[in-house]
Amino acid sequence: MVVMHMACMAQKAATPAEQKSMIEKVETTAASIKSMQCDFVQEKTLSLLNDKMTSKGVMFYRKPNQLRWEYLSPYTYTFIFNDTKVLLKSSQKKDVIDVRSSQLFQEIARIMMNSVTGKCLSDKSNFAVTMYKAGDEWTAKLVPQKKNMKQMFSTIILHINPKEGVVNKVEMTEKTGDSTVILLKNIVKNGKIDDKVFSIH
Amino acid sequence: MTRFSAFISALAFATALSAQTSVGNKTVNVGESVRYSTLISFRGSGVSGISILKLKEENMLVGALINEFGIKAMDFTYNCKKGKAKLVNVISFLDKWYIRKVVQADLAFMLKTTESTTTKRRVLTVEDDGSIDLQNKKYNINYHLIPITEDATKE
Repeated sequence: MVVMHMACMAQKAATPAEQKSMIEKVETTAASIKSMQCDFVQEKTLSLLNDKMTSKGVMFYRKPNQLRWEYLSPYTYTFIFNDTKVLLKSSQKKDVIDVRSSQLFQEIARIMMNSVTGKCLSDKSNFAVTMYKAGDEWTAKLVPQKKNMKQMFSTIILHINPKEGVVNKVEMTEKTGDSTVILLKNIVKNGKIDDKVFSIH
Repeated sequence: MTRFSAFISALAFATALSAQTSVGNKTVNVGESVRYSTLISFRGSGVSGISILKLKEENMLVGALINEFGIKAMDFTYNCKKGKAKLVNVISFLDKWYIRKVVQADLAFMLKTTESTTTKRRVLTVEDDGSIDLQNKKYNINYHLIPITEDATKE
């Protein structure tokens, strides 16, 4: 967590005018994203277990409410969020859940979709945003504003490619100090994605 | 001399046993961990993700349930000797005293029982493939754990 904050501080905070134009650029890109797919590397630090967990996989997103988060290594496991249903599929079994009554599923899926697309920069009711810039990278530091969100995260840091206006790294730090870093690679925007990718059957 | 050797062997065996524990039908040694694809469902709601359980030290099992995106839903400790579980951090949506109380008791039951068992309140099923299902009949909570085996492609 300290390292993440130091990394942010090493960058120069944007002036209010710069911040406005940076957020506008990301918002414009986010609005233009109808679909997105990429590879990811997820690293989770667990202080209580004194352990670090690294997983790799692929992500597919399609507006407004479809997300496939598929781990390929070190194990295979797929999470598909499709409007009101979630499919959890491991190599042995699968479960389908109706998420209409689950605030947790909806909230977390929404945070993830908004983080990887950059939409959460315009979510003023949920986050206070500070933009930083250094060389060829922008960083957005998001501090949760609502009680439920504050209890889940202390900060979310998005690393943004200024040329593309897309998020290529998400760092989430929990209240307990445990962190998750998700690196997004080989990002393809608005490519055709087969409906089967989001099928929960 | 023979008696002394037998005593040493018994002592070594007892020490080895206390340096390991069982989760369902899996044996976990100190420093080792096991992972499960996990779904906890209750009253039409639920939480899913990956559970990691690690025997951190002798008689002390620690665990965490992390959702698919790495967000931790809860972490807990389990004292194998006392058979008691304690939730350490719980995501805000689930952080209610009555939920903590029930989940702690269910976890303790699940972790101290290695075979399929039915009691007045709970039904625990341990499958041959290592899957664990626990049904809390009173509160209608279901815990569904499927072991995750690391693929040969692991890097």
